[in-house]
Amino acid sequence: MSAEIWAIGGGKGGTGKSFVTSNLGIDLAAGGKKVILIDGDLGGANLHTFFGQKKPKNSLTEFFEKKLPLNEILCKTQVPNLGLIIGDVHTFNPQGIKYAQKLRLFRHIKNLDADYVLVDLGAGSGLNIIDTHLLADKMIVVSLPEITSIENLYLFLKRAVFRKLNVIMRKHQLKEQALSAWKRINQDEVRSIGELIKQLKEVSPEIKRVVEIELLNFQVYLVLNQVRNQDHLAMGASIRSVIIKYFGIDARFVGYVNFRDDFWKFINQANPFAEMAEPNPMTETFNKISRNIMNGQQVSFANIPNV
Amino acid sequence: MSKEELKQYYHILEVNEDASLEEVEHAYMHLKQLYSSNSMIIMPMEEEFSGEDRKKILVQVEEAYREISRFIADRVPESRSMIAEADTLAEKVVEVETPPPPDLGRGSFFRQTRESLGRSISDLSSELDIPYQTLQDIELENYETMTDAGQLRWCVSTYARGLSLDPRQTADEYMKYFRIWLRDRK
Repeated sequence: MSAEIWAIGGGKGGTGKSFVTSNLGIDLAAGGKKVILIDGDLGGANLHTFFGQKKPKNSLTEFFEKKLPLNEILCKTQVPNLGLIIGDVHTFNPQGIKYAQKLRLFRHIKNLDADYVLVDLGAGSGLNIIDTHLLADKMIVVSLPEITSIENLYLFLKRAVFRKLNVIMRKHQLKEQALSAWKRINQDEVRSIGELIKQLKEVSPEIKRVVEIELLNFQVYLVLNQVRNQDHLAMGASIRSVIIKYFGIDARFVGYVNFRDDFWKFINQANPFAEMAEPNPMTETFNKISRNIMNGQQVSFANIPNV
Repeated sequence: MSKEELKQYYHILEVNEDASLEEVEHAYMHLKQLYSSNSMIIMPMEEEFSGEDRKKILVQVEEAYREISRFIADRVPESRSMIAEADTLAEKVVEVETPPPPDLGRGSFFRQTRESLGRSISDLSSELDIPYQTLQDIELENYETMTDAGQLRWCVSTYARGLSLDPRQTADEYMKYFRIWLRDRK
């Protein structure tokens, strides 16, 4: 059986993507699953730091440039069942990876000996990051309850949906039809992604069918980090709602992480996760989140205060 | 209502089909608040998400809430037991001797709280942008003037917030009495 891939993104830097990726990985591994984390933050890899690892000798650079198999660049962590593949720590031009190379990477990821592979995408909403997100089985986004972070998240999703529609059209060889549809849509000055999807569906029954089927599996799992109060919690539900109503895709608010003002103490240790108190205070939080992702459950409205 | 329609209503309210009445009410309140205010969450989308779009969403949410709460009340025995529970709660309040705890769900509680704050109805009416008559009807429990449960819950919780009360808890309690009245009227 091939590994299930979870990709963690969301646009803005500093929202805690690496933190969320590491903790989800730790939780899945603690549940007896074989897990591999991949630091896909090309150009800003730091996942290894969370596990007290020095810069490794080999990284994804060697996979792309020297065709080293993924197994040979896989490092162990101090957590049983949890392996780590480092993104780029040497010189590397992330814009230089072609779509075909990404597909190759995903083929290799799928064949890794693991139950779950978690890819930390890093900041930004460039094509590379968006494509990696779209190739994953589960798309997880991390945001802070802050306007700048939310804005970046919307931009990220806007690009993701747009790209997805493009890929769908190409895959089903509807490119010509789609292109003319795009043109018409542009002339009509379609304002929103939701509207765009609607108009695309009106082009032909065939396109309608394809778009509906493909978007059915387009789900976003939202994790809200650094939640300080009940209002922040309500923001999680609001963001989820805007994603559903505006982008016309399915979104689940799978969980949140409470803000800890002593977190910096751990992060600045040589080996953050080993330094954390036992039991790790994040254990319960991330256990809930990973279960929600697996079962398609989410934070209930009944637990969210009305704002 | 067909199965497909019902499914669509749940989708609009963004709750699972096994959601409780309580969860449905909270979802409704949340969405109504979100799309009728100038929320920070919508701000980055403002250019693409016009007031017209939001109005459309509000109408759909309104309809979905009405249909789902009716569906639950008709089909699910628990919601009937919730009303029964509210009945026993009312009895308990009578049983308790001095001092009786404040009954959050009563109109008189709103009036007392308002008076203790030295506020007038007209004052709060303009602050909360709710008609004078509506606030007075809430205090006097003029249930027969309240035809729309969703609208009522919205007004009650906004009023509660204006009085620095817990909007959710107070509205929950108020709606219990409203439901008892609805049931008795039938």
